[in-house]
Amino acid sequence: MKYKVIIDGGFTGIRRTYEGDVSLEKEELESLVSALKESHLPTKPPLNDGEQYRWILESGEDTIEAVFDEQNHPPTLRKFLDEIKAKQ
Amino acid sequence: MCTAKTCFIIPPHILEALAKQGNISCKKALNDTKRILSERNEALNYLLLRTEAEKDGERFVYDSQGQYKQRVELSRTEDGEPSGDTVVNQAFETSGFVRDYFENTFGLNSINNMGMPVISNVHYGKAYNNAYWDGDEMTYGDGDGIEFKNFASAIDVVAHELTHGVTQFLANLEYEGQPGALNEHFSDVFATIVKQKYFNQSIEEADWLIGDSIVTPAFPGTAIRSLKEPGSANDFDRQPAHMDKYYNGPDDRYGVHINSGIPNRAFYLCCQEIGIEQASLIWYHTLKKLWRTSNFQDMVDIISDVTQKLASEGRVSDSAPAAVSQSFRSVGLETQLV
Ligand SMILES: [Zn+2]
Repeated sequence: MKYKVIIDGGFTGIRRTYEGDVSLEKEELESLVSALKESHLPTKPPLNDGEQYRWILESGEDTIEAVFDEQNHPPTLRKFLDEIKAKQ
Repeated sequence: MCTAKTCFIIPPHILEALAKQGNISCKKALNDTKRILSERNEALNYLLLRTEAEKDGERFVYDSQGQYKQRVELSRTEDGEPSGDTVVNQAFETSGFVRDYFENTFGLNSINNMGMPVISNVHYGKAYNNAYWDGDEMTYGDGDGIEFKNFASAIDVVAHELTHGVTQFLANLEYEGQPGALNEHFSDVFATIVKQKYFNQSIEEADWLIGDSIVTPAFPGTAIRSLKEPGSANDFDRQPAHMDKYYNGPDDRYGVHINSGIPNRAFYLCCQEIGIEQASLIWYHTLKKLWRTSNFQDMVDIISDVTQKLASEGRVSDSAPAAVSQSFRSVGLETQLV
């Protein structure tokens, strides 16, 4: 599975991109896809200095893209992102 | 129609025009729903903590313990003992310094002028390179330890975030495009002012940098932003210093942290002419006059008007109006008021 995560905004205003290719267990992939399909419409006015997270996952023929704010970034995606960052 | 106390259903562009002419009820109408929501949240949060009569901007510092959650564990209160955690104590001390600056300088009773509690959350998330204001409270990451250090220890970062709260209650500038860039601008302006007070620096001694103490030697730059030379703080710094280089793209909510460089540079230039004390008074009173959708042109028109009024009252020097106009002219902005 190919992933790309673009973090935009935040106090620093510095855009960061994380991308790579990982093989995941079926359950883990399904969990990520399910999190990406969660409702991600902002529920509040944007946080001042809150980050925005643009996710793009490519698995087989499918490409899923979603954008989240600090308030609604699903824990499953946060955990995956923390793991990606820790490996870099 | 607007009377002294009420605004009826009027198109926003007319409300804006009236607000620009100083109609306070129209400005309030423009700042309407989000402020009501914020104040309701604040009130609800506050009821959990204290009784109505005792409001006086008390500090509460919570430890997120590495989770992406706020208010996980209360670690320090206004009258409580210092924590064993240095970061908790730093957030307590810096947030108190900023709160006291606004109170001692402008008579502001905490963030909302109604004694709102000053709530900080530290150790948020894992290697989290950010700090934010969420409408009610401040939240700080520890940084990744590679390029960034703890955000809560930096007086300018704390002042920047707390000023977002002050801006929310004074003008409620929406967080996108030019109003968003102005929102960021006021946070950087008061971050710089408070930082110079904190370190007891003159404007000649000051570095005019934002976030210099949260970056490590591995970070490709000296700070996050520079009011003196926008665009020069680090290798990623895209801030323009003039309207000629205005950013028109969609990144960063249409450039809120990017185009703020333009008024930031005007503030720096103005301080060189009239000093930071007069400039801070002018910028604070300008913020009080702005409204949710104010753009750069509104800012220039309002600040010109405010400076004239302060000069006529003898609160700033007679040279201040010309200095303010020249500072904005230098970055490509000119008042359209005659
Ligand atoms: Zn900000």
